Formats: sequence, C-alpha cells, structure tokens
Amino acid sequence: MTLPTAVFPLAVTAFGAIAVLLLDAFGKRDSKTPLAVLSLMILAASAVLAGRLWGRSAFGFGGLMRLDDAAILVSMIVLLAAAFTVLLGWQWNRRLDAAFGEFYGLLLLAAAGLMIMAQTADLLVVFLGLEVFSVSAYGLTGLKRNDDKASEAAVKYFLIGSFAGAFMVFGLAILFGLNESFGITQTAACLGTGLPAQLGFGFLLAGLGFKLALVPFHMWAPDVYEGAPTPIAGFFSIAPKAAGFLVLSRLVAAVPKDVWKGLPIFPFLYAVAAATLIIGNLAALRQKNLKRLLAYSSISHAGTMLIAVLAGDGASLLFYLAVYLFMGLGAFAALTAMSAPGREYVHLDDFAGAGFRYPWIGAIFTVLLLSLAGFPPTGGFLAKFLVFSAGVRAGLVPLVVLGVVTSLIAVAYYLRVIVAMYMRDPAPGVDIEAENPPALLVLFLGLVGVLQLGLFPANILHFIRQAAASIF
Amino acid sequence: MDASWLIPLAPGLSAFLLIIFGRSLSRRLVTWLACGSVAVAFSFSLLSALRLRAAAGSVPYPARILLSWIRAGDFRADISFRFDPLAAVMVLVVTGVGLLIHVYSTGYMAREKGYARYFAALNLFTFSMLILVLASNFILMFVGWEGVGLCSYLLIGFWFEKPAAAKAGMKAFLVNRIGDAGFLLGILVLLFAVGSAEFSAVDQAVSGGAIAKSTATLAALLLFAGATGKSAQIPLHVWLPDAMEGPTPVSALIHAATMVTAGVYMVARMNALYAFSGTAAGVVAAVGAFTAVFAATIALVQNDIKRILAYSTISQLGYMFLGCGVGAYAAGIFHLVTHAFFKSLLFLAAGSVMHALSGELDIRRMGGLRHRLPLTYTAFLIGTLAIAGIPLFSGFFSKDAILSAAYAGGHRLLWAAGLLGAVLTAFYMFRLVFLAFHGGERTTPEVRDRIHESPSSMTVPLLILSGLAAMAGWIGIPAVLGEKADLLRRFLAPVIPVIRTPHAGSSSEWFLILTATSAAGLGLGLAWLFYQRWPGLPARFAAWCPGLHKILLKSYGVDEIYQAVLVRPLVGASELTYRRFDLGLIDGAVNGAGAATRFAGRLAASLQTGRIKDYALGFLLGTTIFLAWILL
Repeated sequence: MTLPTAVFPLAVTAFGAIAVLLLDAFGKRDSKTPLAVLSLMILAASAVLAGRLWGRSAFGFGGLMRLDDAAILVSMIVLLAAAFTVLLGWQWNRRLDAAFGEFYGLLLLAAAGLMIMAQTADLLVVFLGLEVFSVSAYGLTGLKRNDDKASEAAVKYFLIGSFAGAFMVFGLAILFGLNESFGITQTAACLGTGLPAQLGFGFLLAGLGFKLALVPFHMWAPDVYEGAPTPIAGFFSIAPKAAGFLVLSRLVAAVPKDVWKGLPIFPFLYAVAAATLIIGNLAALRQKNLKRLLAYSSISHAGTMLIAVLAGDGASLLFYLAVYLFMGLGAFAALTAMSAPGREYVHLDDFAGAGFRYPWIGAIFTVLLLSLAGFPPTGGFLAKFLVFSAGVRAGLVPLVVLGVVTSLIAVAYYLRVIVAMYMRDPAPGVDIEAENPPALLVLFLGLVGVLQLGLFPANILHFIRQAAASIF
Repeated sequence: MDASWLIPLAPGLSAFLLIIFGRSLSRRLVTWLACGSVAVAFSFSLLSALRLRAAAGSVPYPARILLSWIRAGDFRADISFRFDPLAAVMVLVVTGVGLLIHVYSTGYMAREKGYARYFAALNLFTFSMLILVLASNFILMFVGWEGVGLCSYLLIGFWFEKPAAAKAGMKAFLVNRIGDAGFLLGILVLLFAVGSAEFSAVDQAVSGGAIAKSTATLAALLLFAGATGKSAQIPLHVWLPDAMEGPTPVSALIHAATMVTAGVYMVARMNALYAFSGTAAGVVAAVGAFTAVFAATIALVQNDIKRILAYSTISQLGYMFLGCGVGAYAAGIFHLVTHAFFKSLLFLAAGSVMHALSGELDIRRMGGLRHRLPLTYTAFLIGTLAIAGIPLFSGFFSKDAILSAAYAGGHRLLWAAGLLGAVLTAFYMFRLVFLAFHGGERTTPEVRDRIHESPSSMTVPLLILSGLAAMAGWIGIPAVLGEKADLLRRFLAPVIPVIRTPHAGSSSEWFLILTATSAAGLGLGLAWLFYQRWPGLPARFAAWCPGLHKILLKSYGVDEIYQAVLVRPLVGASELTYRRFDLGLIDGAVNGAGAATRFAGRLAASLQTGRIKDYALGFLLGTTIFLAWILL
C-alpha cells in the first residue's frame, strides 16, 4: 500500500479546500451556494473516513501522523464545527454585497490545519498545523474587507499571531537542541532535566496559550471575535481550543505523573488557569457587545478546560470540548439568526424583547446560555461537574473552588442577556430578520447537543473514555 | 401501582406548553392548564402517600431509576426518584399548598398582561420543586435546587418594569448562587469521600464508618452553606425581604411555603450525616437560633406588611433549623408543614388586603380593616394565632416540639433564644394585626371608597388554608397528651429514626408547654399595651433609644456592609479589568475608524494608540513572569 489510510481524512479536507478555492476563483460569481454544499460534502467525507479508523490507531509517514482515537474525536469536533460554520455562513454569503467565496475555502483550510495539530505526536508537525490554521484564520478575520473593524482585527491578529509563532519556534529550537527530536514523548522525557528544557517548554506554551486565548495571551480574542464575521468567531471559539488542548494534554500526559507536579511549569499553568478564570469572567461582566461577551466567556471556559488538563483527566476535557462545541457555536448561531441584511445585531439592547418576538429562537438561546452558565440538567453543567470532580480527585482543590466561584459570577452576565430578551420591551428601530433556516438548523442542533450531552451522556462518555485512554 | 414518579410530570408538561404556546392560548385555557396540572400532581401525591401509609414499615424505599444518566467509571448518577415518608410529606405540601395558591393566583393576577408567563413560571417552579424533593441523589437534587432558584428569580422580577423588582430578582439569584457554590462543593466532597451521590450511599457510609468525621463535617457544613442561601439564614438572608417585590402569591408559595424550606428538607434528609458530624449539627442549631431571634427583632419595627412577613419567615425558618440542629429532625419538618399553612395563609390574606387597598403596603396607612374585610381579617387572625403559638393552633404544637427538644437535649441557651423569639413573634404579629385591622381608619378617602372583599377564587383558598393553619397541629401532638398521638413523627420514623429525638420527662414537658404559652401570651399582651391601650408608647420608646430603633429599621445594616465589603470591590475589580483590557481597545478602534478611512492610515493610527504594542507587551510580560518563576 502506497498511502496510509491515516492520511485520508486530512487529505480530503486539505485538497477539498484547494478545490473549493479554485472553483470560487474560476466558477460563476453570482451564487456561492454550490460552494457551501460542496464544502459540507467534503467535511462529511472526511468525517466518515476518520470515523472508520476508530479504535484502530492508524499511523502514517513514519509515525509523524498519529490517528489515535483522541485525534479522531478532536477531528470530529473540528469538522463538525466547520460544518456548523458553513451553515451559519450560508445566508451571509448569499447576499451579493457580502458574498465571499474564500469563506468556504479558507474555512476548510483552517480545519485542515487544526486536524494536522490533532493528528500528530510530533511538535514540528504541530507547529506546521498551527501555522496552516493561523494563516487561514487571518484571512477569515478580515473577510469583510470594507469594514474597518474587520481589517483592524485581522491586522492585530496577524501581528500578535506572528509574535506567538516566533515564541513557539524559539521554544521548539531549544527543545530540539536538547534531545534532537520533536517527538512529544522524547520532549516530555527531557522536561525534568533542567533549566533549558523548562525554558523551551515555556516558550512553546506561550505560543499554544495564544491560540487557546489563555490569560495573559488572550487580549486579541475580543477584538478578533468582534471584527470577524459572526460564524467565523463561533468557529474560533471552539475549533482551535479542541486541537490546542489535545496537544497540551498529550504533552502533560507524556510527563510521568510524579515528575509533573514538581515541574515549575505546573505552578505556572496553575496560575494561568486561575488568571484565565478570573480575568475572563470579570471582564465579561461589563460587556454590552454580545460578541465580545462571548469572547470573554470562551476565555473563561478555556480556564475551566485547563483545570482538566492540569488534573490530567482527558475524559472530562474531551467531554467539555464536545459540550462547548454545541453550546458555544449554538450561541453564535443565535447571534447569526437574529442579524439582519447588511447589519449585525450584537449589542445587548438590540436583544431587548427578542424572546417575545421570536419565541423559539429566544427559548433555545436561553437554554444555550444556561448551559454556558453551567445550569443543570444541560450539558454545560455536567461538563463543569466532571472537570471539577476530576480536579478534586487530582488535589487541585483551590483551583476547583475558584472555578466554582467564578462560574457563579458568570451567571450574572449570561443572565443579563436572558433578562434583556424576556424582561425588556423591544427596542424601536431594530429590525431583526430571523429568516435564516441554515442558522436555525445549527441553533436547533446546538440545543439537541446540549440536552443530549446533559441528559443522556452515557454513550458519548463511553466513546470519550476510549478516546481519552489513547491520548498517551 | 406506584405512581409517585408521575407526580412531577403534569406540571412539567404544562410549563412546557405554556412557555411555548402561552401567548396564543386563551386565559381560560391557561387557567385550566396551570391549575389542572397541579391538581393532577396533588392527586398522584395523595394516592402515593396513602399507599405508602398502607404499606408502612414493610418495605425499604427503593430508588426508582427512571433514566440511567451518567455512568462514567467510578462516578454514577441517575435520574431516579425515591418516594419515602419524608418525600411524601414534602410533595403533599408542595402540591397541596401549591394548588391553593395557583387557584388564588387566577383571581389575584386576573388583570395581568403576563398571565401566561406567570403561570408558566409557577408551573415550572412546581416541577423543579418536585424534582428537588423526589430526587434520590444529590446531583438530581441540585438540578431541582437550581431550577427553583431560576423560577424564583423569574417570578420576583415578574414586574420587570419596576427597577426595584428587576434588581431584587438579580439580588436573590446572586446571593443564592453563593450558597449554591458551597452546595456544589459539598456534593463534590461527598462524591470524593463516599464515591456516590446517592443519599442511601451517604447514609450507609456514615453508619458503616466509611467516612471520616472531619470529612463528614466539611461536607455537611458546605451543604449547609447552600441551605443558608436557599432558606435565607444568616449570613445569606438578605435576599428574602427584597424578594417581596414579586407578586404576593409568589411570596406565599415560593418565599414562605416551599422553596425556602428546601434547605431544611435537605438537612432533614441528611440527618444521619449531620448527627454523625455533631459539629455541623451544632452549627445548624446555632445559626438557626440566632437567625430566629435576629430576624424577629427586625420585624418588630418594619411598616411594610410584606416585609414584616418576610422577616417572620426568616425567623421561622431559623426555628426549623434549630429543631434539626438539636436532633429533632421530625420536629423541624413538622414546623415546616405547619408554617407552610399559616405563612402562606398570612401572605395570601395580606395579598387580599393589598388587592382591596389598591396595592397599599404600609400598615401605617391601613387601620380598622376588620369591619370592611371581615373574611380577610378572620383568615389573617387565624394565621397570626397559629404563628404566635397560641395553644391549640398549629404553630403552637410545632414550635413546642422544637423548643422541648432543645430543652431536653440540654441546649438551654438555644431553648432560651427560641423562647425569646416566641415572645417577639407574638409581639410583631399582633402589632401587625392591631395596626392594620383594628383602631381608626387611616386609609386615604379615595382608597377607602374602593375597598372591597376579594373574589371567591381568592377567598376559598383562604378559607381552606385557615382550616389547615388552625388544625394541622393535631398531626403532631406531644407525647404527654397521648402515647400514640404523634402521627407525623411515627410516619417519618423510617427516614428519621426516633432515637435521635430526645424526649423530656412528663413533668418538664408540662413546664415547657406552660412557658411557651406564657411567651406567646406575653408577646400578645405587650402588643396590646403598645398598640391598643397606649398607642403613644411606641413613639416614646423609639425616642428613648433612637439608635436602636434606627438600626432595627435598617435591618442592622447588613445590606450596606455587604455592599461595602463584597459588591463594591467586585464591581471595582470588574471595572478595572474592563478599563485595563477593554475600554482602551474600543476607544482605539473608534478613534481609528474616525480618524482615517484608509487601511494604512488606520493601521498607523492604531499602532500609534499603542494597542497592538500593548498586546505584545502583555504577551511578553506573561512569558517573562514565567521565566522569572523558573529562574528564582
């Protein structure tokens, strides 16, 4: 056999991306719908190919590619996030004044980059994937070329992103110099050896922390979310997290348990998690712009996920990611569904009374917000609960207490949105168009996902535990 | 057939229908749906309770697993109900009192435009409360626990046009969340120590010695933190008085009869854990006794009829915790039941007064209402006699059960506090009665012309509750009056072992009954002296020690202290984060967009504002901190 099966899912997405870009460049310019359909088909094909490898841990390119169950699960999350984003962008791209075919091509490419990150045990390949994602992400952020905020966000993202990339390369160089390997296992093995290894790892973490929007590497996130098209912001809130946290947990899992807590990295990550929880939630408290609010919310969720990483509990991390896919993207779907042609409604005041005007959208959005706030019996509650109980088991009690307390603060800002929707009279002059069937579909799927994972998590948890066992 | 698991179904279904279709349904249909669903739940409760009584003692109470929820290795939680005597008592109160209040609401809220929204929330509340009391494990209980909090919030803020109402709702919610954080941590501790969240597993671990005393104490105290939030005990009592901004039937159902008693229920449910810990039980008793007196003193000087009742509720909840804390869990539940009757009666009667007086709340502008609202007056008087502990009315028996248990257990100080609270209770309640219903009319003429007795949908529930408030004490007659008369305690015995309830001897029992009666009489007499005989006396007292009067009026300034110590720093921190990390960016963007339209120009502008540099700086800072960390 010439090509290993492990490459197929990635290859389909990557070549699909190029095909979509070419079709857009040379095809008819007036309708982008065929591109959306094609993108969905490509994502579905990739998911099917990845799913067929479940439980078999395929390898490729001399071990550079590692398609274990965790990688497959995270790839599924990325692919599903991309599919949701395609659906959310559907209507947005049908309007001629806003249509950009690059949307689909770049999105697929970004997904491919994240899949590369997830499907390897080699840090250089991780970096490669990260850059593939980043370059596409800069383009996606600045898609609205005529919009000042979008261009500004793209430039900011690009500059800080390059900065982060440089840090990461520097870290990789140090680590490679130490043990002449980019393999995660070898790298992790040298972590206890001394200062240079710690330094290299620190730089590497700074680079990863940027993509995961962990404090203090988070500042780009609100600006970028605000400037980027709403569907893309939704994609950014989950997909890079899935891939990045998998890489991080692979690194952590490869360090022997007794060494791990003695490393200076551990208290550093501990502090980062605490700062992320505090800053993310406090800053969100003041937001009136829902995109910025969701940006800070996603930062705070990253803080919670980091607790799972520190606890070394892959299962609760993966479950959290799966739940966040539905509730996070679902919330962005609600924003998309309530926007009008040529204008996005993202201010809190725009949502006044929306719960009465659009009872279904309002009700689903409410459930999603409650899930984000961690209310039982939604998936958001269960995800938090599993992470916290893993944290307690791993002896991270102060961090868990902080997590519980900050999630208490979080309720205040999620609730404000619900209050605006149900406890205020509709704002005059806001003409929201809620006729967006593909976005409504995503919204509905978000609801189903959140309830399914909250009420009937047994089957999915079974798969997730299997995946977590394969992290290392 | 065991139908207990069907109890929550009807209210849940009705809530769902009302949420989705409520606005397009006719009022008539909404009424029938809302009240009918609770009536169905009540019938199921009654049937199940009777069945339980028939089979008393013969079976352990198995948890009925409706749905296997989470099974992840060592961690397991199911959606499962357990219908035992304790749950039976609770569901009867929730659906029974709930039904009466639903019916009352159809009259009270008849002219509201949010009629369907109101009943949707009320049904959802009933559903969540039933989940809370039927749950067989902590995780599911927490689902109900959060659910009732959410509905309470929605209903307090029902008149959201009123800023005070919206604010009160938010306050209730946030204060409750503080308690909930403790509750959740308590669950995590138990889960960690016992390996299961099932109540039965916790009980087994306690009786089998599988849990260390210190761990048990920690878990019990954390859980109690949740109870202080939900049941408005010190230090988390501040939300309940403000919660009176909600519609009065809501105050009756949620903030008197059911939700606020969830904490008491939880402690009684976990009686084995609290008894084992000892320390935790002591804390529960002390907090309860202190709250009972503390809140009663505040109620002495308030002038808002609903606020008086709110502080009274806090105080009475304190009694329930006092009962549980001294080991008389059955007495705590007994008081919970009688309180549900007489306090919801008082609230509904107060609502009837407000209804008649076009929304007047200030008792200084009432007076002489007994002639104009005879029915309401009778109901309110019965409620007052019950809460003040006048013999033969329900509150007398339940309060006596708690006080005699405290005395018999050797907690003389707690007993004395309870007795003091009883004097205060009788005083402030009769003050309310004398000021509002007796004496000269102080209502304004235009209000006076429109005074009318309430419609029958409101008075019939008042009548039924009056009967219950007067007679309910007979389910818990003290042992000295009849060997087998204590029905409730014997009914609860399988869940709350009688051994844990200390008994006083026959002679001291009589002594206790006498002291309790004199306490009530003393309070009543003082109120009569102050507000009937010499009406100038209260003003002279207030002038005599103005400082004390002012402190009481301000509820000891707890709100102000929290504002200064907790709220302002938090808001400040958020403000700081906002300014440091956010505001500058918006300014930068706005300035940028305004100053230059061309991309390059704007890029330069935003570079000049230094924002990107700031980001990079933040990035660098983080890494530097890390470097410093490992170098030092």
